[in-house]
Amino acid sequence: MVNLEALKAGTKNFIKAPFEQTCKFLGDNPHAAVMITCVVAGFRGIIRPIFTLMDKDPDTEKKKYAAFREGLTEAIAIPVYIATPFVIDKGVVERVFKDNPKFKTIKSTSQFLSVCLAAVLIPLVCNVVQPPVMKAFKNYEDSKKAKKKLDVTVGGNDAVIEPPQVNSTFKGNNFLPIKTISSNKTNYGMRVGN
Amino acid sequence: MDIKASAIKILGNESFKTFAAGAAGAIITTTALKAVIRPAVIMADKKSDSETKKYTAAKELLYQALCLGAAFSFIPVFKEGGFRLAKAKGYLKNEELVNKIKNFKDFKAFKKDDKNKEGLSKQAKEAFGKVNGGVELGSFVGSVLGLTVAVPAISYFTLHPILQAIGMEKKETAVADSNKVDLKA
Repeated sequence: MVNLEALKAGTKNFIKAPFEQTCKFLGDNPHAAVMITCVVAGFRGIIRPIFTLMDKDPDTEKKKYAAFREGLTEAIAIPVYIATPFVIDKGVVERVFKDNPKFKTIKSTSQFLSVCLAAVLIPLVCNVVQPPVMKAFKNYEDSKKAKKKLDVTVGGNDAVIEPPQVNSTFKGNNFLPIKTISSNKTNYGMRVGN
Repeated sequence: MDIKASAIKILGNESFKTFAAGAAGAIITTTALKAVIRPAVIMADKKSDSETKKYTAAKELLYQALCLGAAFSFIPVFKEGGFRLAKAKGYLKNEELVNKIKNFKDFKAFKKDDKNKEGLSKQAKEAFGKVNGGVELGSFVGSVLGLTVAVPAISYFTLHPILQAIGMEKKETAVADSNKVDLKA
């Protein structure tokens, strides 16, 4: 349960003296390794794709795809960085070393090693999670592109559809349906008039 | 040898704890691991062709090497900056600490040995915690600025020329030449 009173007091203190409270929080925090890796992953997930999109490569589709993959890698990294130390702490350290006099030191060092293990696991997790997500992203992009193309054809058909090659010797008749330039619909039935 | 006893010996080591408890140690170690693991995983991918794999692995290795360089150059500077800021704010004005910690070098030596902290009063421990927090905050700021702002900016200008220099990427002029249509032919 979250202690609301403590949270309120903490927020009040932070507003009063933000630097001092931040120093106090970080100075006694045993989860510095997890926090820093998550913060860096979060910032990297935003800034690295921006730089990729700014790249000189003229292929915007390739850039968009690469930027999305980079953002996705960091989005996968954050939960792995949080979950790995948590699982190892609760599953191994607290069960095996609880009665040891050096428990606090062991907890701190094992958390650091768990973060290192997470760094090893992330590329492997990405190999499993990324392909289906990237495929879905590609499908979404393709459908968006197809829809856009379709909109152009329907809305501005005069600009897209090239005029048909008319044979000058052919004068036309009243039996064959003619496809007009202004409309993409088929002209059913016989022509009336000329 | 008993596995549990050896694990306690390694995990309970005080010097290892000093390195492991800080944010800088985690960033430097994870970046070094990424520089090895990520290119290895890329090269192990069976679906991509060897040229693409080599190019992507080289690019990732260079990027992580730049990250490692940034971590080593940015973090110590910002850590010291954090210490100075905490000192300027008056967190070290504690009679038990003021003579023992005069500069950042003293702080590092004091932090390394746990025996130094054993005899401290509650107020002195709190003051030391705040100074340590200032140093950790410096690590955070240095890591974020170095790894997420400076490295993408540096790699934006240097990564392609380096890849071209080691022959992993074609030069833009070479690509343009290969795309040119020979009108005389």
